[in-house]
Amino acid sequence: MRLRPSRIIAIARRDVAQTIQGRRGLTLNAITALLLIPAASIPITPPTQPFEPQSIVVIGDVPDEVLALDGVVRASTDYGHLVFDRDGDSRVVMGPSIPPQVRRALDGDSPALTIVRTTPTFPIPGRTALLALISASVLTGGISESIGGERSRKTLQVLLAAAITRGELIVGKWLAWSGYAAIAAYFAATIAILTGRADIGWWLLPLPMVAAGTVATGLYLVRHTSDVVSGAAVSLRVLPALLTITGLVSWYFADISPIAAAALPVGGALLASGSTWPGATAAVVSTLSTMLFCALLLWRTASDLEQPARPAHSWIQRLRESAGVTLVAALCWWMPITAPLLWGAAGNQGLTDRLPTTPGIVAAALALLAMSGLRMGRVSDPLPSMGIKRAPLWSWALAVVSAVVLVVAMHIPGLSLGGLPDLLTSAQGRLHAAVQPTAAGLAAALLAVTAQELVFRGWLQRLGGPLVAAVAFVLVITPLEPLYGAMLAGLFGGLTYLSKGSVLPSLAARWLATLAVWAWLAA
Amino acid sequence: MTSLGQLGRDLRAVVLLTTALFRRLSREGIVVRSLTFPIGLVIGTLVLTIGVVAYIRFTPVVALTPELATAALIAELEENEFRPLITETPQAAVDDNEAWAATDGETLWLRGGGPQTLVVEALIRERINAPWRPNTQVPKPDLSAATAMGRNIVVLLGVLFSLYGVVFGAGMVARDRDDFTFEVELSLGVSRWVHGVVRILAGSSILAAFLCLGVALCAAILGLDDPASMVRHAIACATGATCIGLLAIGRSGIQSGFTGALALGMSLATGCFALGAAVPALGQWVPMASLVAGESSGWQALAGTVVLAFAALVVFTRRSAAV
Repeated sequence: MRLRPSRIIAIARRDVAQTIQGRRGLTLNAITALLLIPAASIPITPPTQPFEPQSIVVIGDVPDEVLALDGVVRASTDYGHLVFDRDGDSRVVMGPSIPPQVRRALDGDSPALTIVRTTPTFPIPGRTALLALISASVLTGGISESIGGERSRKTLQVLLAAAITRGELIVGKWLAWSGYAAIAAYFAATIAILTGRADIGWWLLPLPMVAAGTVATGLYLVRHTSDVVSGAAVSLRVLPALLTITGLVSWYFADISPIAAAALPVGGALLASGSTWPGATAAVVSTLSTMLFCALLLWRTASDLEQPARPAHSWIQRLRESAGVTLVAALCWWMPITAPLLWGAAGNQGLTDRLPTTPGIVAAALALLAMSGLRMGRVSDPLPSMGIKRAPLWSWALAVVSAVVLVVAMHIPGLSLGGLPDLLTSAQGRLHAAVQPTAAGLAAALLAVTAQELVFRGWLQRLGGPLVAAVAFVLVITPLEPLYGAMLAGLFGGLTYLSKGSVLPSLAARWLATLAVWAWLAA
Repeated sequence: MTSLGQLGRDLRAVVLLTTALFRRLSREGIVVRSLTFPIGLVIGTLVLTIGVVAYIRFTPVVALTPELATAALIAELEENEFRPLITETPQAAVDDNEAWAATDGETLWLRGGGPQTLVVEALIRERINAPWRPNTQVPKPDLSAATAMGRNIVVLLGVLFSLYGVVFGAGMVARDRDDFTFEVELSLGVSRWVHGVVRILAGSSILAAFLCLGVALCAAILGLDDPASMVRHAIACATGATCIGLLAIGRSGIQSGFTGALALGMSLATGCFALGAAVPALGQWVPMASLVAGESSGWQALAGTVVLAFAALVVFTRRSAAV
């Protein structure tokens, strides 16, 4: 891909001039200055005293020494910050925390136990990271307009027909906004250094890279948008998340390996621009990694720009689409059914035990049905696209046989994976209960099996074929019971295949099995 | 016969046009993303937070000198989910990050804070017969606390979806007017009220479907006292907001007068919420207001929604759909 500096600079100048001319440009510059100048120059005083409540309400058998303290008041109701009681000779204090003055009063002159707290040291980015963050945050408008605006004004085709390459166009646009942000950031850095809020150091190197990475990501995200509104909708949602998530991940890794943390594109540069790590290594690594990240994204954006759409029926395209549907279906199914287990893993087992499973099954089924509904709304042949079409007469007989096989299969032992950790064993139980959830009630069960059949036999089997649909079913619905899942997927996938792609016989079989088990349980 | 024939034609048009509008809405990526984003963000953040807490939760190591480490103390530490470490140099264990807490019976070294520090302090103080100690019972939130939080999240989603509803209601008409789709629809041989009904049904059904999904997810992860009543409130909320959008739009288009109509609709919607908070007895009958008006079955809100929908239909037919 050819990249001629003169063309790139011409594109950059044109892009910036279009956006910042007139009153609109004045507004952008004014907002940037209003945000950056205070961030660079206002003194920040860290709090010197920990927060303490103005008054401590106490109840129970409160000793006189505590009552004599300033700010300690006896409760007039049943509620108090601290509850005092006695257990034999010992006094017991109940409360979320015990303030130091109360401890001193209880200890007297000779404390039985001295408490020494050692605070763990975490690398904290300095104020200069804020300059990088702000300079990147003001670019949303420019990024949103950069490609979408050209497309809505019909000037993108004109540019592509001119004597410039796609690479020069994209790099020029990237340079325009990265350069704008770099000038703003270095302007703020100069103020910070002149006012004595920051010293000259290696943090100056990665300072513009945060905005550079943000612009590269933004251009990649808006490469297909048709106008400024859809560009803004994409960049407003994703760019703050990109900065936050990469920053937090980098900060998490900082404790383990500063170099690995600095190597994370954008997030590493953000932390390095805040002088989080001493020396030059982290600054250089973060700058290089973000530059590489920018180069890859810009190359990808330029390759994708206004290229003709790939054939929709290629097997790679179908496989990719199937993987996307499977991923979304997995999130829709697992989250409501297994997420309540996390309360127990996080330390509140009582909550997990008391949360009913039926709402989870209903929510998961509704989420799968919402997916199916959206799919039906988007295609020209909504019912056939989900496998809802006439089936051969003999396939209804097969449906009855399949229902009988399903009822028997539900009672075959030994199909689950064994030796799993406690959390996964609980998840296995919940997911198993949701496959054919008769115990959750007839309505919930019918809803769940309908949702499963529509997504896996109706949609995915048509999109990716019986094998892909079967693998997706096992991965999403029975990931911890693959044999059981494979048996069901084989049974109903085969039935749908024999029914010439109609999902109705397999749906009927699932309904029939559900009704039979429900009637048996009711009896 | 003629009027019956017209009614039949109108009802058929309602079904066909509602399906068409519903499909148009579901094809628009920005609509689908807007509807899934709040649910994904709220529920995703909640699940991610619990997941991270579960992942980073660890069994704290408490270093003890051999003199202190009686079988009873060790059993009590283990019962409270601490891992005892017996060492001659407990302070060094904390300094070297091998232990989270350490004690020699006179000093308790702690890394960090939280309720667990009170528990370990209580156990050590009890072991050395100190004159006072903290209580080891730190209560955890129960299901009622979780369901209260679940209801709050549903209210939050309801407020967001109400604002969407106003934008949907007003935007559907304004956009169709600007691109002349509305003019084409008005030229069809069906009654004028059909166009209002179609927009109320399509807009509110897509909004209500996603809001009910949000309610179901909250019921699954946090629990709700009465999920069925919350679903009724959600349907009333989505339909009421769409009706307000239709009421407010008047004869505006996207490029002419939309801002004013949208501001009016938003003010009416937020006014409904304010009414619910200020006068709960009345708010139970008003869509949107019912979400913040305390406990009610939701049937009253649905009844109020029918009245509001009728009013919106009359205003829309006489004003927006007038030739």
